[in-house]
Amino acid sequence: MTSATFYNLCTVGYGLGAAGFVVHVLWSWDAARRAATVTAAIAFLLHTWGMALRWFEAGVVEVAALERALGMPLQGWTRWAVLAQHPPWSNLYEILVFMSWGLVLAALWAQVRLRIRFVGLFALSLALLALGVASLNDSMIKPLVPALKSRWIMIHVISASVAYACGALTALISLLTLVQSGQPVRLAAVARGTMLLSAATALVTGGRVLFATGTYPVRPFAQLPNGELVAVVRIVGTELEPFFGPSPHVGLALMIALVFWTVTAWALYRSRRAVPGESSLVFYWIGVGATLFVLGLMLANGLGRTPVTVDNAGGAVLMPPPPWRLSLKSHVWDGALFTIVLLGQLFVGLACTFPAAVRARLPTVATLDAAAYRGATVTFLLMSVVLITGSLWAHAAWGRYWAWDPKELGALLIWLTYALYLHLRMTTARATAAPVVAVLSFFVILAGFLGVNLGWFAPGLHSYGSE
Amino acid sequence: MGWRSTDPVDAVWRLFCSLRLTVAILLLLLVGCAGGMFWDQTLTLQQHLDSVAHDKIALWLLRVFELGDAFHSWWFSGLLLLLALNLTACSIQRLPPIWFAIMHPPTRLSDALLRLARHRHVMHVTVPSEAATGPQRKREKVSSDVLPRRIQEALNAALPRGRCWREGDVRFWFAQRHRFARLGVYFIHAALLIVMFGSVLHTTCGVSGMLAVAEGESAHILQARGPGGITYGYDLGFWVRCNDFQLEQFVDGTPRVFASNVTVFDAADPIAPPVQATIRVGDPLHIRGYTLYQASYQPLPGPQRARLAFGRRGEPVTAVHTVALNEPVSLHGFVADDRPSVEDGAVMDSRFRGNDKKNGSFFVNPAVSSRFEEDSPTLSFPRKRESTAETAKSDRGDFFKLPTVTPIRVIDDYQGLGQAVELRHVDAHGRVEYLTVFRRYPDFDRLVRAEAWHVAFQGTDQRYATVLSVSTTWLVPCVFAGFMLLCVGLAMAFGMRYRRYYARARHLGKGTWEVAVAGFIHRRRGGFDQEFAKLVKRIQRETE
Repeated sequence: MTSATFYNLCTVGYGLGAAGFVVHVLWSWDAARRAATVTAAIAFLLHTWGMALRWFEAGVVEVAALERALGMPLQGWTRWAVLAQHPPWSNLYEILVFMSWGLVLAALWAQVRLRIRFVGLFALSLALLALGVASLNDSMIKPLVPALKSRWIMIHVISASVAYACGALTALISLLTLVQSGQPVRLAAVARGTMLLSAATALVTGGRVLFATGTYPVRPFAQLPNGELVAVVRIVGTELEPFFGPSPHVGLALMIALVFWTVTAWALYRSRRAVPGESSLVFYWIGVGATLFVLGLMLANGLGRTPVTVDNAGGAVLMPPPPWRLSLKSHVWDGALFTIVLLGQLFVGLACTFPAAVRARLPTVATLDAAAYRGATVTFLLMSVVLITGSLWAHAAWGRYWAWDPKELGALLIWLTYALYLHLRMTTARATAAPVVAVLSFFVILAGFLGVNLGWFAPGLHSYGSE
Repeated sequence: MGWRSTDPVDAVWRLFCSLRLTVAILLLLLVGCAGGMFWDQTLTLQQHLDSVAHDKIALWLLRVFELGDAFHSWWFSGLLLLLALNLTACSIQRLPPIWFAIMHPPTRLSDALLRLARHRHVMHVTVPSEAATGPQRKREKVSSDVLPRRIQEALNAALPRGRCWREGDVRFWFAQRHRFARLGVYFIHAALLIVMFGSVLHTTCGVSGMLAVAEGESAHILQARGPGGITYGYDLGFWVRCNDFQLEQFVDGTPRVFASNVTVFDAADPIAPPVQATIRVGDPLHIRGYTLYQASYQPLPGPQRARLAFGRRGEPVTAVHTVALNEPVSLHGFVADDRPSVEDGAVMDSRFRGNDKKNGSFFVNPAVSSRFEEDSPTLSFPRKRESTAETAKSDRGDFFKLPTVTPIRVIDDYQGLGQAVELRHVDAHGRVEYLTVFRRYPDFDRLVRAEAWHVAFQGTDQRYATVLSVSTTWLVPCVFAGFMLLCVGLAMAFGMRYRRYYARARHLGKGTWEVAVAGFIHRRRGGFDQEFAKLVKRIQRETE
């Protein structure tokens, strides 16, 4: 059995756990919570074992590569040192798997110690999403590049991944705090914010390409003489890579969704001093429907059909000019981001529609606030470690401890966001602005972590992290 | 509402001490950093100007806001300066009272302090019945000694190193934990100031740039970036010669190791001994106040060279040669079963065959590898041009034909099988055959062709320029000291919790005591509820 087998098993376990938490949230069955927690814990153990196995597999690859390069077998401690040299968090696939591990660990702690409902459900959903997206990335084990052969990779990357996981959990708990602490008027503000965030996500993901070129890149299909539609794939080396091209449908859906989200935000703003009324709620659910529609269309376009293979020369002809190339890899991520947006919209929609029922299922504001604060301090602490160890590593590897590289700036942005959160808690805006900043910090984490890899920002030195 | 001075200096001081200013600066820094991420900071000012030359607004924005080097621009530097002033002012204003509170905390649990406490518990304890037997005076004596002692024991067990004293009939206890944790925030602030100050000094007083040196060449001018993204040359005062750039790659083309063998010398001082060193990733060279790091490398334009490894049948690879395309490698000397047909019938001298198998000296092609000659000084290969790559001259002056292998072309991807090289083999009889060997499959030729010799393709080799990152690093320890202090501050601020515990036992008469317990925690109340409840329970148990 390989590490992939264990990852598949833990994915199934997390799925079952999430289903158990759904039952617990809806019907308050404590047995379902216990069963879901135990299932998630078992899946977590499988996940851990899978990562350990992956470490060993990567070590075997390193040993084989080095033995081949040196032309002699490695013996004794040297062999063990090389075996341990390649930890399972050296590329995007592995980091996503590791992040989901950290997320589940933090969620299990929050579930067992703090008994916060929804947290287990949301965290497992995010972990499943991360594992799903990871499975679409290149999972091949490749030898480490020289810059990554450092002891700093252990502490630096571990700190970053766990910090991102804790940050995601803090954002979730802060969202629950906002829902629990808020009066109906506050809920309307939260709903309005959710819609505006959705519109911002659409702008960041598809909008920049949409407005620049008038369409959106998705997988193109070629029509065979018999009328059958087939997906186009490219040959890259020995691999077949899905080929993406422009499609007007998702672009149109995005534009319609943008209109709905803006209208919903406006309607909620109009009713900001009142309890969310039926009309604004109807608008809200139409906005949620628009998100669902966009996501469905993305998935429908992404589903594979009979592939038509084109060689590199053909692909080069078919490949549209920039900025299409920037968006190719981000297509999967756009889907993931919209899934997160949809989850948030659904939760806030439920909180607006059934406020009493949702609040009854949540612990007190003080408990939630304390948990969010603890999560934020851990994230801040770990991000400090990330910045310090990153600087030391960069100084040793590149001769400069800080280069204003986009990835470094991303980490600094996350650190600054949590510094802002901690300072806001000392002001009068403690109950209002601080949780909002904590929720927004999740998107800062996404931008800092993935923005560089997805080509949202200027190019930088951390290019090896994109594969 | 307190009195506020109308003095403008005082107003400015209050502004810089305010937490709201901190929040505003952090928000502006966030926006500034996020904005700067969209501008490629690696480009030079000229490249930035060229990219926006057609757009007047963008050009104006670039010039006014110095977006080409946003993180050294006036507005970003101004924000950092504001933050530094804010941190300093806050620390100056708040540190003295906090230091006083740490060193001289209120130790006596007064009623006012008890009311202020978020965690407090008041209980009334009556002296146990067995202690109450006997005359009134005896009972009073027992109760006044036993009960406070039991409380003290409980407190000492729970909170060692506490203080205990008596004021009349009232007993007081006081203990505190991690009192210096409150200084953690100021350690963090000081660390940030040190890091900022050190970075500014490092940027302004130091030099940092890139030095690209082609193999076999020397350089002494550093390409440094100045304020605003302007590049300038900086004379290092010494020369760096790249003797050899070593690049080892995995079969998929990713670099395994790269290193530069360099010689540092001073052209103006011929007496000074040159320094020779190998610079690897993570293993820099410190010399004359500068540190030279192996940053990256660049392939130089020129003819592509193929790295071919040869071996005899049944033996592993015994020699590796790097040859340019269309440049033949002679195979003579190890094709034992296929003696060459020497033009004049002479048999080649054994010295020509080069018996030094370890150094691969049976491959005789002086035009290909000068290192080969250096490694095999005993090999007397004819150096005159009358001996070409495909002919050799024996000691007796005879010319004869050598079997050769010539790389014809390198194919980047041979039908999905990866990089390959096409070879032309001319045997001693003049017969020509074409072979293709694959980098990904080094045993292909040995297994498939099964001839007296086999060849493997180990990739292409070409001339490189090593790119060294050169910087003065004498101020870097200052920044790293800031990091150390930051770690200490973080550990104090987030790893420790400042807690104060108070207890008071007051005799109310008739054998009844009022025991008041209070607890204060500076931050992070989570967990303190249980801790305080445990302490109260312990005292209750002891006084039962």
